[in-house]
Amino acid sequence: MKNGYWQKLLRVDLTSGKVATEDTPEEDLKKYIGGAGLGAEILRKELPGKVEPYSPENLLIFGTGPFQGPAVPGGAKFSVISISPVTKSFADTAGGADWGPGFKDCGYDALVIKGKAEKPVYLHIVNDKVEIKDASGLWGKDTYETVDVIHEQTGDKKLSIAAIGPAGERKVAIACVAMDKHSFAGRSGLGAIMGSKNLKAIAVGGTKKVEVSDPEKTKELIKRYQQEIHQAVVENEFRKHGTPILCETAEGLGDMPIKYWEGDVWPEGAKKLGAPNYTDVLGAQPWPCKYCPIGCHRRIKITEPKEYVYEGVGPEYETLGMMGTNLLIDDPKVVAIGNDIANRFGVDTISVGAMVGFAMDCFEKGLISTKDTDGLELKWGDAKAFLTLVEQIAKKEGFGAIFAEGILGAAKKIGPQAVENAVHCKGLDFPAHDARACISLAPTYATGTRGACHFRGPCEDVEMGGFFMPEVGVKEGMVKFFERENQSLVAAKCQDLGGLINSLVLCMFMVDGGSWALTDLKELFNAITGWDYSVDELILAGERIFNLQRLLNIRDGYDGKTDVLPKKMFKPAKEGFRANKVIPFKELMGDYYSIRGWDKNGEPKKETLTRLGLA
Amino acid sequence: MKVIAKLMSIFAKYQKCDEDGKTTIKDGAIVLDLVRELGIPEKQVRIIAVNGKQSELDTVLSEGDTVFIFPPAAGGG
Repeated sequence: MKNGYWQKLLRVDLTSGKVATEDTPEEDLKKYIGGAGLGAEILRKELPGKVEPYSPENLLIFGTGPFQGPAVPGGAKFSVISISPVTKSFADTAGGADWGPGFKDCGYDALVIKGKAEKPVYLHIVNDKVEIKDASGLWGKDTYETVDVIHEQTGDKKLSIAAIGPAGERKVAIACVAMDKHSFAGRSGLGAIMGSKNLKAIAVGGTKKVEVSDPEKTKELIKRYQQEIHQAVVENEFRKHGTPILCETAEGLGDMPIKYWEGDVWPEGAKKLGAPNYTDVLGAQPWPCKYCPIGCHRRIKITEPKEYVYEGVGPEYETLGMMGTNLLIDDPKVVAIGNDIANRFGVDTISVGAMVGFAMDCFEKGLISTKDTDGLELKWGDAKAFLTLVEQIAKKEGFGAIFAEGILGAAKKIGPQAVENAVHCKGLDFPAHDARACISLAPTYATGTRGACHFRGPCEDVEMGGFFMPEVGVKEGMVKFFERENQSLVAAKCQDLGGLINSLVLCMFMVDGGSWALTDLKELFNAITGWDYSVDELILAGERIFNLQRLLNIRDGYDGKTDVLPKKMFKPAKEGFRANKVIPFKELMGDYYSIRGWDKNGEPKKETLTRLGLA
Repeated sequence: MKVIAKLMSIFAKYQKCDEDGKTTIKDGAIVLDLVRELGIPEKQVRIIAVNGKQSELDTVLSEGDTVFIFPPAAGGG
């Protein structure tokens, strides 16, 4: 077998302490690729019914794919898969830094964890040596301290470490998994699942190399793609400025959240938060994951004012949106500090920004007052209130504890109007892209298998970013802003791409920020696996994976009735690019179900399941 | 004639206007003429909005139009 896979799972039962390996049939890999696809299939097979997220029975899976063996640009990724405490159903979230290759090089494709350790532990995996180690001295430490202590204790600074912070330990539903102090598997709260299993961290440092089908061609393609992608992102300045380059354009198109989705325009705020101002003010430099020619993560340094002195990873577009314009905060230094608090305590910066916005919105509307917030004046643009509440949410303390079960849990405690004001799908907060601006996001969010996510289907990039997949019919000019035609097709095809990308596992920016076409991706996939897939077969695998995840959602109680958008998405803007525009939601969903081959209840039809090999 | 060119993000450096904040171009110009006048690399132009309406490079401009020219905004992670 020379196909880029070890065809081997590592299983760890934290209740019994038992460690085992298991062979994976090549047929499963051909169908589900790896990462989020293989993870979904394991959840389908091994969790026959609905599972309480924090129960020991829930599985926590760390999955790689064929792109983690060779030095693939954008291949330093992996997926975390579990039943989410936010959505109470399937979720996957991707992380970077060095962890994916570091684990793959141990000789496994995926790690499947079940049970619950009696006391805090961490996993130390170096090739065949798999140890469950005491983590009682690590419990309570933040995500960065944890990395330092494990490096010191093991004497091995080459270990890549995925860790949770205090938020994960305390089962805050939006807890993230943090890698090597600069990458975060942020969404869906899977850090809280680690915490529920008393698992503080997973340190990996493999030295094996998986064999590929055609080593010469793999090497040649990698060299070519590295150069091409690098050249593309230097030309379009994505490397220089990273995702903050999006801010002003997103705001100009009505895509960026303003005042918890109540505001229409704020060009001054977006200009201060976004690049080039961000790059200048924060002295930002690219901080690449392993093998990455883009380097979208930012390394920043703030030297003044005194209270904001900071050096480390900087906020990205999503965080600038959710902690910046969303809160009417326009100082990138303030957002950088909020970002750092969230990263160290270990919560998703998107959701925690959403929660602060929601709280400020409730405060302004009189749904909560200082009596509820222990005196905290939650006023728009107030940096101190923002930073205080981020820390409270992450620590599950004070008023912030109301968010321990996610936005919906908090809204229900506040009252019916708060429930109406919450902006989420399946309980997962919207990211910093407004479905009223790019309406293909409407079906994408409503049907998102982990809830509202722009990156499990990057359809907005077709309209906003000039990203196309001509090989599968997603072409220049096929959608126009606010017009229904082809929007649901773009949404579905981009979700299929998302299913594939998060199973390979590959950084989405290689295709939608870099220059990688689907044909290039297929060439490399075939050189590694030797499977001779066509582009259509690869996208079909993505469609299969998306539908499999949908079946898990259905198993967990979701259906067509829950394919909805929050009320705020039906309030048109008064000014700006999307002034007076309304999402034709019902029509888009009709188109979408038809394209998907789903019935009126949102369930895949029998013939659809047969076509996808899921019957 | 004069139009108001709104350039943001990485296009801000191409801003070129008179003291009144407007850019002078030939009568009957299309958006592409304005893009060339300002020196913006054509292949980087992604979205154009004239007076708030999505437009194309060949859209004909009129006196006093407000023209937003956006670079690509791909990738939101």
